[in-house]
Amino acid sequence: MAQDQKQEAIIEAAIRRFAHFGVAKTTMSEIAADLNLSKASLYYYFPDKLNLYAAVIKTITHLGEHAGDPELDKEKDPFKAIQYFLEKRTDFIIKYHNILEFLKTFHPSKVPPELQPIFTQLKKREQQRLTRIIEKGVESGIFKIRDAKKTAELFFDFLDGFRIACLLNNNNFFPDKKQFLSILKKETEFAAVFFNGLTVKSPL
Amino acid sequence: MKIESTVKQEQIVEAAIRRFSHFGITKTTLTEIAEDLAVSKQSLAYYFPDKQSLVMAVEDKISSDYIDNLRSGIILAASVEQALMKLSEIKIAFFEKYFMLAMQAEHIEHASGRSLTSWKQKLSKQEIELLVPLFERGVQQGEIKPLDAAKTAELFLDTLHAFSRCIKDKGAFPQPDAFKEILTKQQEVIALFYKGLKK
Repeated sequence: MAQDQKQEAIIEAAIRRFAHFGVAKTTMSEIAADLNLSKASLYYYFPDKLNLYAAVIKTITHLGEHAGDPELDKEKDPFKAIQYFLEKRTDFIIKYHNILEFLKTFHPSKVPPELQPIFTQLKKREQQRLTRIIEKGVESGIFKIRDAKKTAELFFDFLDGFRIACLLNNNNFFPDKKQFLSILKKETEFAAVFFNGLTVKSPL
Repeated sequence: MKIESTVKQEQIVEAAIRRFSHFGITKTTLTEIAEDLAVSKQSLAYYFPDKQSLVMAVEDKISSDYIDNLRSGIILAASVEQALMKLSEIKIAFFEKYFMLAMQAEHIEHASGRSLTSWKQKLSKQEIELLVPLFERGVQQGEIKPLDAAKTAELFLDTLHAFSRCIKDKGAFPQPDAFKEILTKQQEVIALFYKGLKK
């Protein structure tokens, strides 16, 4: 197997393990065993779990590919666009929440340098997409606001905090699909109110 | 007090089933289960002093759910053929749901030197106890040829078992398709098996 092929295979195996068991419960030995690889040769490609984790995040988020989402760009109605955005986001979280969970182990100010740039980039991409959605409403004259970017940031901060608050409140069990879907429902309701609010002249 | 403690015990078993069937036994800690239920580790230890005792309670609970399911499936079936088909469906559904748990339970039993007497043998004994009256009734009602019900039940279960073994070749994460494939194969074999029994 060529080198980059092998690297890809390792990332794929890691995604399967991480997505099911979470990062903390997955060992490098298990990933190596899944691929009939020696531990030594696994470490040749990825010096530690954190490096492998960084590669996994890049792969599942398609970071470094195209920035836009063509489906999302096609949708002219900002209300429908935000619905699409929230659904896609929820699908992603349902699929990979065990992988994303690992981030909670870091204090926001102490994210390791292997991961920091990736998250800055991801956050920026999400905010750009939200900005684009809101700009659509501004362009078509539905939204009466001046600063689409600032409004998008506000919406993004809500999304970020809301999920965490919901999961904390609900119960102590590890979350399942149903829970994420109920969060999606609330997010959609919030988005409707929020976007409706944008149609009225506001200080933003 | 007595009732309360039974409820608590059931809650712990439910929480353990949830964790075990997703993460497997080895990757689940008693601390996590205690946290899921917002109880202290000490109070968990009051009900289950160690993981082994909890695993056994979990096995018992799943087994009794499984056997209950089988029993009502068999009772509701209109013929021996239908009952056998239904049995394979229920069997695969449980196998899929508790795959992670079952594989590890087997592994742990092996490693600890405990022979497979416990879970699996108890289960197949109960399965046979359900199948024997089914076959006997089939004979009485003239649906199938006269036969040794106990022997046939055992052969039938071994046959199904043979097919479910091939899931092990699919690695740690068999896809839902793999289970469907087994069920299809099992049902093809059941159809043939049944033709052989039919009067």
